[in-house]
Amino acid sequence: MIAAMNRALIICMKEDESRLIEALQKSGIFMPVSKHKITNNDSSKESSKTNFLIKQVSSLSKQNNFFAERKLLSYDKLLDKNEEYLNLKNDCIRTLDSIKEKKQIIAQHKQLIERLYPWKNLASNVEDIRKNNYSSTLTGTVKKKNMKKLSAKLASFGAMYQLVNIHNNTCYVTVSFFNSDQGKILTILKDCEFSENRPDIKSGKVQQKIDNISQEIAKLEGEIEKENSALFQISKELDKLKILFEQEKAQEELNEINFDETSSTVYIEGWIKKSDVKKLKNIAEKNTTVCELEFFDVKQGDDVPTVVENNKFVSQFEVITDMFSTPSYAKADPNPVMAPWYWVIFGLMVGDAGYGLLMLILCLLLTKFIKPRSNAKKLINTITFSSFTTMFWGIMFGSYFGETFMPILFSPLDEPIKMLIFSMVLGVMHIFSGMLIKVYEKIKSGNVLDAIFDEISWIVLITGLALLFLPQSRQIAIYLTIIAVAVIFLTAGRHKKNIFARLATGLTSLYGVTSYVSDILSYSRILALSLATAVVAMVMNMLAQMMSTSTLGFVLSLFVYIIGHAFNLALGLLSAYVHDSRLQYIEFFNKFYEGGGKEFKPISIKAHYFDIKNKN
Amino acid sequence: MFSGLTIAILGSALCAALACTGSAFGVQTAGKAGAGVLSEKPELFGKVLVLQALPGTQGIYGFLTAVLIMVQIGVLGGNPAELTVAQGWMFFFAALPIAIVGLLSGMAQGNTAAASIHMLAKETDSTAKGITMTALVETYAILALLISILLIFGIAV
Repeated sequence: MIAAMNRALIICMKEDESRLIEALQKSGIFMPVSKHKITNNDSSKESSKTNFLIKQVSSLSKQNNFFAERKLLSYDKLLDKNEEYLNLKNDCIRTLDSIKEKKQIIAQHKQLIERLYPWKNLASNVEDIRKNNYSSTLTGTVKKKNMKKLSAKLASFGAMYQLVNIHNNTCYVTVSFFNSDQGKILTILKDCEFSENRPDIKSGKVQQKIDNISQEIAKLEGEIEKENSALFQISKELDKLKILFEQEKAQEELNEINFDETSSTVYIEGWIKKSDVKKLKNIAEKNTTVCELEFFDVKQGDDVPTVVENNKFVSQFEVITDMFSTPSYAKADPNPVMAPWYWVIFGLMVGDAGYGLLMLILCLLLTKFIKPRSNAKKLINTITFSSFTTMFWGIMFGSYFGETFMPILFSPLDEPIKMLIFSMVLGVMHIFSGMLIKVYEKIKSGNVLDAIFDEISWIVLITGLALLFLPQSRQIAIYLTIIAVAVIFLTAGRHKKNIFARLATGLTSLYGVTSYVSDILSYSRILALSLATAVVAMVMNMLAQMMSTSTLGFVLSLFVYIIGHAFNLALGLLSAYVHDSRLQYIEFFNKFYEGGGKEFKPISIKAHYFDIKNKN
Repeated sequence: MFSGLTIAILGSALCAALACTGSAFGVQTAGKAGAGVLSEKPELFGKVLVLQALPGTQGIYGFLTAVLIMVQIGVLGGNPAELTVAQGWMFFFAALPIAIVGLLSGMAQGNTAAASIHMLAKETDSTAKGITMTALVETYAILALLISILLIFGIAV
């Protein structure tokens, strides 16, 4: 059911504005009409920075976070704006930044050492490698294969060379020669593919420099160690950072709303459920010195958000509709009709009693240990409910982990045609229920004739065509079909002026029977999916059986059973979810549903890391 | 000339091979798109994985059909039947719909899944829309599977 909404108008003094808004946020019943919404870039928000810190620090504390229970927090503690939390956050930012900086410096140092390393045995100071008055010294690299040629040629000129290091087939050498021979020496060097290369320091010995830098690195690493242990201490107080995060998030949500104001009053406009009107009055009276309240019923053309309220069973399936489009306020809520159909068809598509039992156990374990929230919780609940229909249809079709055993109705593996007809009959009933919702909507808005001409005529036509296949009802079927065809032919174009245009429209709309045929055929996927699951299960059983001849084979066959059936169950669940949803979205919703509604998002405290107790 | 049994086994082999190939290519295309998206937004892994798994069903359908043929001709039970050449060809042609459609729709669905994954990167709430659009391609694989199944069950051994 779609809840009735009221537009609420509050005028209060500016001094009371923040207290009132915070109280409204606590109650979570009020959705403000936002005229100017300032949407900030996500990464610049304070809460995003805090969230990032939380992720960094919690990875250090090595807690197993996947199964960690969400802690319970009282509302007052959540709103307690403690200075300590902000200091903790700033400490954290400082420490993390300092560590990052030091790591960068270490990386730079390490790169330098790598460049200097080949020259570490250079005996002379770097500043001595230069052109003097009578001689010069050069340093550089030569390929190992050219070394012999170089040494021979240099010797003939009385030049000296010193092999400093050999590394990766490259010789690192210093060459000293007389300035008078410079030209010829340089030619020799070029000939031997000598490439000049100076160690990258200003003065002193290379080894000394390497030692200095290594000491620097050790010192920095020591400092990083200390800062890491400081972070580890912070990680013990992670909860404080989390509370700060929730506070910042709540504040940012409030900052995004802009209310109209005069010099001393504020004008707050928004939507609430009709049933919450009294609550709002109480809140306004408690939190303002003086205020003016007014409530309006929904007018035509208002942009009303939708609140869907259903019983415990149906409300889990709301997640399926919401993934498609939120219901529109003016139309009917599709969930009470969609939920039972989704439930039944899901069970048909998986269709194995053993798998149904596994689904139930798995979902109950998941709910207990992971404690999912909102949409994930609803989805898991739909699967929990569907495990019952899966078991039911499994027993009907006699399918137990792939073994066919005493089917009460029939076995789809043995009689696929029967299952095909069964699926299509189910499909026809599903489509009819969708069309009946449209009939209900039309009658509610007073268009009874429209309902008869557009919907009921088609229902009669399809029933007639279907009954034509049964020999007993052929007579009635023929009458029904003729009446329906006549009605559609004569009334489909009733909005047109010309009699010929009317009849022409009637003819073309009769062609719409093909879309109904394709819709009904679409339900044959129920047969396909249940067969797919059944056959794969059967094959896994056969494989395991073939292996279990010896004792080792028996053990292996157990693995095949477990892994094979687990895989089949996972695949079956995914397929059933996707195709069942697709049937609802395309075949069912097509008949009546428009969606396009706006979701009701009241300002509220939505704690990400905690469960709030006593919100009252 | 080949015996009837050989031709039937050829049909079974073909539908498994082609449909699985189609799925493999489809899942590959989706996987490549997924890897790209995850390199920027690693938190989307669960949703991306679901979308990548969707083109995998054609392989299952091909596998199913191959097994069904094997069951009908008795190869799986260890007791192969004496098929005439005509019957062999019947099984071969019955395997063709899912073989051809499995191959082509697997690749097509892979492209759709890849596009949905790209959409997911920009609109992180649009998983359901992506899944629905990808699943629309699978309708035709299912129709082909059904025809193959009906034909197989219709052949008198």
